Amino acid sequence: MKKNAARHIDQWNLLLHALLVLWGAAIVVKLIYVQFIDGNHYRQLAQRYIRTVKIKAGRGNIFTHDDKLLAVSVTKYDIYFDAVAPVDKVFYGEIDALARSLARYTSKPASEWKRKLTEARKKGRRYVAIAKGLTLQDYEKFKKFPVFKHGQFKGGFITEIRTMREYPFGGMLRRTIGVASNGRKYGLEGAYDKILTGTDGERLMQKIGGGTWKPVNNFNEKEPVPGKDLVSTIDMRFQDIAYHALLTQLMNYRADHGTVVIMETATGKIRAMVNLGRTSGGHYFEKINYAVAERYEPGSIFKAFTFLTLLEDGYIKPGDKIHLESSRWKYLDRIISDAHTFHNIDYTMEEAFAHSSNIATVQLTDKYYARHPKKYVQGLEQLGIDKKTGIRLTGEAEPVFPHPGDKTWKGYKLGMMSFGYGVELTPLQILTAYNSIANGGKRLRPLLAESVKEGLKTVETFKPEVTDASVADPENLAIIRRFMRKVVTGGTARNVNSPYVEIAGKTGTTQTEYWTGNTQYIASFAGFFPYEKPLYSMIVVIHKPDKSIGYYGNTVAGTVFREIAEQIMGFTPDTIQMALNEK
Amino acid sequence: MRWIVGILSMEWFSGKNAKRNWSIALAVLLYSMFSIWLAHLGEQKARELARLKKENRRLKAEYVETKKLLMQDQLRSNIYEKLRDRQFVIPKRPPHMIEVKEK
Repeated sequence: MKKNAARHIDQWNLLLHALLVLWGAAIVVKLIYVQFIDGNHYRQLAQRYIRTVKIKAGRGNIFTHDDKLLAVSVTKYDIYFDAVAPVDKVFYGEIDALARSLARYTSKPASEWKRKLTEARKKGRRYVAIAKGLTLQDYEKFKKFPVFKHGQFKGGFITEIRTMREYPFGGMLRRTIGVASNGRKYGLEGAYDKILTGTDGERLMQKIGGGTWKPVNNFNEKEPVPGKDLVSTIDMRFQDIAYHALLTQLMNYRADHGTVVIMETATGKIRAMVNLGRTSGGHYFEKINYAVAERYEPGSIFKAFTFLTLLEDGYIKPGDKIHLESSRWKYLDRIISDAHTFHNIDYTMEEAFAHSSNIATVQLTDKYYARHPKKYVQGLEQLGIDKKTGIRLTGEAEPVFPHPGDKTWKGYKLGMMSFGYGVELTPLQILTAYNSIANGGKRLRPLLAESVKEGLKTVETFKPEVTDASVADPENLAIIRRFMRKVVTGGTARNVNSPYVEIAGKTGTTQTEYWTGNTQYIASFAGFFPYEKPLYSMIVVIHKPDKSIGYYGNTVAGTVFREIAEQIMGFTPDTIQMALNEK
Repeated sequence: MRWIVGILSMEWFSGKNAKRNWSIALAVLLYSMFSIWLAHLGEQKARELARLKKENRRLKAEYVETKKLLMQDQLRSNIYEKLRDRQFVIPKRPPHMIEVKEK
């Protein structure tokens, strides 16, 4: 009996064992089938239910040198309304109150809101736009409005969150800050995009009922790494002063456009860069970065480079004199004239420069370089003005710099070039060369970025970059600086002389569009301050002022220079050193 | 078959191996409780993380909005605009900074 029972149990065991083995084998077969035979099909199916979602990394902020925010990524809220979601009691009971609340925060009146929302409900609309680009503070208020306060399912309140780039100073510095989106890259945003952009994260999401997706895990598969912050060299105090000074002058002279750039003499750091252009409506805003991208014939501002070359080549000395017979003089097939009328005048070199004599400049250049113009051009090249500055911004214009031997080179080019015609430079290229004169000969690459920060920690510092340690003999540079001071104290820019700050510089009044028959002017002033210990160099260029109001470099651009220099020195401390008496 | 019958007749927890079975059952129970607690802890952390992220967003928005107002108010041009009527003027003379050095 016992034996029968044992055999019976063994049979059951065997059967159970066999079933388990078969089951296991079936699982293995199915696994192989799923993995290899139907694999692709199931993988495709899985993709419909599981997907990897990119988590956008936050973009770094851009700060000014004085810790002001220039560009920042902020969360904005768009609000939509599902007009079908609320029950009748909620919708019709609270619609009047909701319309009144919406009217308070939008431009539409309450009656318009009530009509719009009621109509949307009748038509069964589930995605009615209510407000876009709200700040968190406003979003929190909207969330508490009647109807909306019941949430998404009972109140039809739909929120969409997006990250937007915000520029707290609006249009100010817009071109210098630039953008890096939709394939467009320029300004600081474009140049330092790699630093500002973080690394996107990843998260696995699974589709659940109702077409919604939920994270598979409680953690991100790859955490996003936010971008680093960029500290620019711009100082908002300088920028604010320069912006308002230029804007006022452009409006006063109804000019087409203008630019101001301020550079720290010792480092090449740009403390302000203003570019304003007039719209068809007569308003001014940052249309183009004229300072970097627009080259123009600099006119008399260029004489500083010609006189420096003459000094460097040993052809002139400050005390040398030049005799001019008349304020009109025939040079080859052209007539060269000076701004003020004279007959038989003797100018020292300093006076010729200070009075911005075109005739003296052309006569000197013609006298010493007519036979070997290459020497003159090589002298100018020593100053680096034939090359781009290499500023780390896209769109810097290549200078137009004629060379003897070029197809376009003609006899008169030498003389015209000596007072700034036939050569084209950007305001920044002129300023970089003037800065070398101001700081004793160091040619510095203009710097717009100072450092990179991660939180409060500085992780990278951009040091001043010297591209040429000595562009000219320090003694000759000192002579040119003295000449520039004379321009302000007893030359063409006496109106720029300030009782508060010693300014040195050179005026420029360039004719433009003379080929159209309606000659326009470009007024400019480039220089540095204070004269004895230059701290800042600056250029002001104003294009096409209304001729009936004025167009000379000293009045149109020089006064802006003076206004800015005085205000900057108004907050730059004058240090007095005192020894502490130990007694 | 017998062990199923054993479990059903509670022999598993009262027979001669009961002590050992009880300890296994307790261990399984404790492990399950621990797993559940860990899962809850994970979810709690996820919720806390979401709350902190929201808070971070709120604080950042508040920081930007407040800083924006402050920066606008700090602009020299705005200060001048507001104080012009009270006869305030923009200084042009540099302020003197006295640097005292020990002998």
